[in-house]
Amino acid sequence: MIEVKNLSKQFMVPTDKKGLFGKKKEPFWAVDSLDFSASKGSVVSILGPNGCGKTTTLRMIAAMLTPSRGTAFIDTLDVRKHKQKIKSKIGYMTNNTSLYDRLNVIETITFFAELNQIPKDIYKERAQKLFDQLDMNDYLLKRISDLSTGMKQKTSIVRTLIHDPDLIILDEPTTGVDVTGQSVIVDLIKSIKESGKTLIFSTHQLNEVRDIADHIIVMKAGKKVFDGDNQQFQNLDNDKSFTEIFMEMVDD
Amino acid sequence: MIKWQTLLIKEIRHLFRDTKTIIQTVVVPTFLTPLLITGIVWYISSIAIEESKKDYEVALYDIGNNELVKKFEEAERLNITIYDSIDKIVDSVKNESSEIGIVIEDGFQQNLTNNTSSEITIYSKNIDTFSQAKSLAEDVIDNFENDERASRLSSLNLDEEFINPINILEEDLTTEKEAAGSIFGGILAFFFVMYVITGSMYPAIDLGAGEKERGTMETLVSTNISSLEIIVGKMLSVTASAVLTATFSLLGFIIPVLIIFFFYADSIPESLFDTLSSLVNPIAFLGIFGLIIPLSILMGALLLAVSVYSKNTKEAGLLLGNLVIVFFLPAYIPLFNPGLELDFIGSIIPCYNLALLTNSLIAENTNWMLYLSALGSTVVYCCIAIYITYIMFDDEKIIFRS
Repeated sequence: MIEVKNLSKQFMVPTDKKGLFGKKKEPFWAVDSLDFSASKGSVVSILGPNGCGKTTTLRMIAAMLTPSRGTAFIDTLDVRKHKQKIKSKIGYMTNNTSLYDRLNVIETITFFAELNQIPKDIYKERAQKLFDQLDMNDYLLKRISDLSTGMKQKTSIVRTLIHDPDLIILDEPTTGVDVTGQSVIVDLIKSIKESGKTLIFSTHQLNEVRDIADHIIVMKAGKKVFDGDNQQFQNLDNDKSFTEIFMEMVDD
Repeated sequence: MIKWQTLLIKEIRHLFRDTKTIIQTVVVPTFLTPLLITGIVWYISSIAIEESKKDYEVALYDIGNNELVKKFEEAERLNITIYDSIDKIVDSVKNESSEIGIVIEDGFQQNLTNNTSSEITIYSKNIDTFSQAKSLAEDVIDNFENDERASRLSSLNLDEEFINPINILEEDLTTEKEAAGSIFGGILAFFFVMYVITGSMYPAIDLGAGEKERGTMETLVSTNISSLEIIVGKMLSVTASAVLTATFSLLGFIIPVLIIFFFYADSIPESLFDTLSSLVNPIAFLGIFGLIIPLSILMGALLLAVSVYSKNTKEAGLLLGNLVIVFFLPAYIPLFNPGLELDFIGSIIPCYNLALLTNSLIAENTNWMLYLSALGSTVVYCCIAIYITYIMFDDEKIIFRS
């Protein structure tokens, strides 16, 4: 269960005005008063144009950034107060593969499993299942630097899931991935959904949202402009496509 | 395994799979620096040997055809050319057709006869430090002057003691160990400081700004490892690299010395052998390492703090380049002032204290209170540096600064 209440984040951003030590900075609300809730086992998709605050929202839910105002609760745990506990419940995948180039696949997965203090026999069995599912067995001893983007993405998925998190957060998981890679990720999201885990992902790919998401949140300039399910989204205008509705919603 | 240990093992594995780390940590200190030093010593020695056999062109101005000119002409390795004006002498030295120019005052022979003194001016370019022309010419003049002095005293029936009421006798009681400390201590310490810095700089950049740039820092902070555990794991990796580099640099010094002992002991002068023997002192090296380890932790923490603050590796390189000057400078001072002695203030200045304590540890005249003061102050600086690094790693504005 995720409960987001008045979640807001302010950054100081440079302006065009020059100050004594470079450009002057002024406050900017990257996320402004965001509210939503998601039940256990649901798939939530956060949509919006670049710079609308999707990544900042996900980082706050993952207890990586502290909200400037408001908060979020993950299974009743406040992200402001229980950062470490929340992080152990979450599997967070960044919007690039972000893996250690000089480690091989096995070493990478072992590192993240041991960091999450998972017993060896458990993480080995779990990893093997994921390797089989993602067809990775021929690449396990290859260094990350020698892998294709798709294989890096798969490794990143395994490392996100290795500690069997309750909540999975994927920040633009299909960005920069070819069609095959995208299909792997979509399949994986579906299998996560089937397993009953909660998943939040941000994306630009509206067809993914239409196919997978139970719950859609559209953001524009840090604020929520839509919160509802697939049907509610389509019902906004039945004569228009999903993309057209979205474009109208975020268009200036 | 606790989390920081997991991170430490991963960081070391990741670091040492990079060829740049291996070159920086092992190849440069163990092989390249000794080769470089040997090459420089060999080059300087060969220049000195060449100069010791060389004949020098000397421009001489004299209009009196006096006795001293004959002495110059008889001197070995000096080719004398007589000029008829002082300007030509100066030009000859300026355009380097002569190594030195000597101008003997007009009336020199007459002054000798009258038992008065005369002036001799030597023109040279002192930037050529290897040239022996000036000292050879001064020897000729000194010998001539001694003969003339003896002759004048003899004509007055006086003994040389008449004008030398005091004879100063010097006895150098410097031990071989003290000489070794003075000669090699500063150099060794300078190299240790240099290697601790270079050994920690690349890993610090890689594990701080490098991770931010590659995006792996975000992955790491998304896991349930705490900021403190991240610092401990990363800082110990940087420190391990710095200590390894310093250890290999030590091997780079010890191995050539051992080769000299075992294979060339008979062919080196006894004094040099004794000085080198003084360097092989396990207690001194233990003492030095006792100081290097906290210094490496200090460097590791500080460089990591600056690195993680940086937006990218380029900015980190720039900032760290400036920071390391602060550590290099105190290590330089004793290198160029061999007589410096450590006091309490000096003992709390990082790198400066290491340099002077290295001298005294090799010389076996260490003031252990100052050693403890150096060690204690470095540990305090370490704690401060670790705290600063902790603040940096715990600040989301810095971790996500890009």
